[in-house]
Amino acid sequence: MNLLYYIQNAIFNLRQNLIKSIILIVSMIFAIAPLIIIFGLEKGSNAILYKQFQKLGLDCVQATSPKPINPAIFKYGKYFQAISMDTDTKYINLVIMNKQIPVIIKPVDADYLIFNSFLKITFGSFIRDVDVALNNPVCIIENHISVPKPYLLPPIIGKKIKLNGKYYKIIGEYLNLANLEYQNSVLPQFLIPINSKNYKNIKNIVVKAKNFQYVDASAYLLRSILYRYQRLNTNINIEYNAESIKTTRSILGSIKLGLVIGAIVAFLIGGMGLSNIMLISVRDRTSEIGILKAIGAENKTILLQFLIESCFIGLLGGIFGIIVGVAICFFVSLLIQVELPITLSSIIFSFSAAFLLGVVFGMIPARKAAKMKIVDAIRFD
Amino acid sequence: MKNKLVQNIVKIKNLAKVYKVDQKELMILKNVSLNINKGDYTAIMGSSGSGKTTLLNIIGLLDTLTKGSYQLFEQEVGCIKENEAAKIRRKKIGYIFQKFNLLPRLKVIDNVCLPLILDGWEKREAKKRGLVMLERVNLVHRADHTPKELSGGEQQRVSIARALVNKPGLLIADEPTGNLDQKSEERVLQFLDELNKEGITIIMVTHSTKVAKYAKKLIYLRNGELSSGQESIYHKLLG
Repeated sequence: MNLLYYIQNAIFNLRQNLIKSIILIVSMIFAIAPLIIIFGLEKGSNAILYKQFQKLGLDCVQATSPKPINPAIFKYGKYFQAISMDTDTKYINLVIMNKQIPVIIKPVDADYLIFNSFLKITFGSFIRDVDVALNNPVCIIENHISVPKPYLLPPIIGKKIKLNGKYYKIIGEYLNLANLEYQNSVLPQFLIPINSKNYKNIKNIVVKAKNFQYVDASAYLLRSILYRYQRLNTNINIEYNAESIKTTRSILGSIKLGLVIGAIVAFLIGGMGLSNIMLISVRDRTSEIGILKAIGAENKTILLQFLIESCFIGLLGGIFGIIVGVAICFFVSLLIQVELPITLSSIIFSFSAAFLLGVVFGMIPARKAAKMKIVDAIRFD
Repeated sequence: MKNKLVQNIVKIKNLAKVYKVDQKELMILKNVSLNINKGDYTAIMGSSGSGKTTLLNIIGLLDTLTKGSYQLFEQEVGCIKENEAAKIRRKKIGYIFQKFNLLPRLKVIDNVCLPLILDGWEKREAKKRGLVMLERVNLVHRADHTPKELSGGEQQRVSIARALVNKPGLLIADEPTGNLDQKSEERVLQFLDELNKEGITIIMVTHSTKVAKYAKKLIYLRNGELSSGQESIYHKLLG
């Protein structure tokens, strides 16, 4: 008998015993939907923690060196989410509209914004990589209480401003959300592209790890790169918040463990439901099994018949379980305003788990059916 | 010389069957020896509990023996593996049961084809052969009905069609008319008679002497033993 026959038979039997089939599929939904939800919760909680992590800047690694850092290390930028450096700032007295304003000129790179999430572009644009590469004379000014009003309105874009004897084109304006309430006590900062002259004075470099799980790997990498380029064996200081990473990892580990235990429990409950109902099905069809064996069905034929039926239920229940799981994730996301992401890998895993569940928990009833004695089975009422 | 040409379908020697019930051993058959040749029409008779159905089940490879030797189609089957037994059941034996034992969920034609499907036949080919068999039992017009829609006599004819579909060398019938009215009974028995005349070996269990009269040989069981000694167990009913 070929596979198609077994499948046709399985469909036929499922249709004939509709109520039992529905109960079977529901028990499969109980086993599979939690897997999707658990995957979503795991990914969702990771994302929330990561967001907090980023906000606090805990995914950054800072390196300081007593000697200027070789700018060539910037070509390793692809190993990190972002790479930025601190250079010397300059205090100047700027004369705008016949008013003398003390400002800080700070050379920055394009990634500066990524490291300083409290800076918000109010209009215009930020310094780009190309501005740094071509040493473009552009500047972005701070929306600050001491800067005259006309300089804080969009028409200022494109106008030139003289800073430290050189003209810079204003390309945008930003707001520092961190010092909104005490602007009186701090000076406004005007940002210009970092240039080769500034590079010579780099003593401080900050990288942002691609993922918070890679923070210590990033620290290790940064140290290796610096040692290679600096040819220094001492005095490079690498700093990152190892303790927070450890705590977060342990929190995530606990969440994951709890979710995995939940998934296993759901899986077992669903599997036992499937196994029990299949056992009832075997009992109900005892006489049929006896007849089939009497007219020449081999044990493996009966085994395959029931096993394919349970696998079919597993897959069908898996599809419904995935649909229900996705729907629950969607509604819970709306309800608690936290995204529970559904990934292709979680769907493939759940579907495979459903199939496995069909095979594993269908095996006991299938073996029971296959091993029945013909004379006992055929007489069974 | 002539004897050598006679093919032994069933050759049983000193067969015993013991069942274990509540730790106690219950001997259902003891010291049974018999031969059934090709073309024989044999009835097994005996009172209730005499072991006639057990003997028939062992002959039909539905049950196993505890002791003794058993050759079926000149092949030792006493300790045969279950899968090989299934193969013989599928290819060489046809079964007719008292309660018809048709699968109620399948159509008549699907019931008839089942042994062929189990033997790996293409569904279309199996259906063709099934319809020929239904034609033989005059039930081709009922092919698409379910067994429940048929009378007892019709159901038994369907089960005969199923038993014949694999062109068996041996037909096993356990009280084939036990659930039928008189008219149906006669029809079924006449049909079995025709089949025997075509050369099919038939072994039938019955408690009715009227039914047994259709057979050419009789085996009588009493308390699990053949009633008249060791070898000479055949009685001509005629007369």
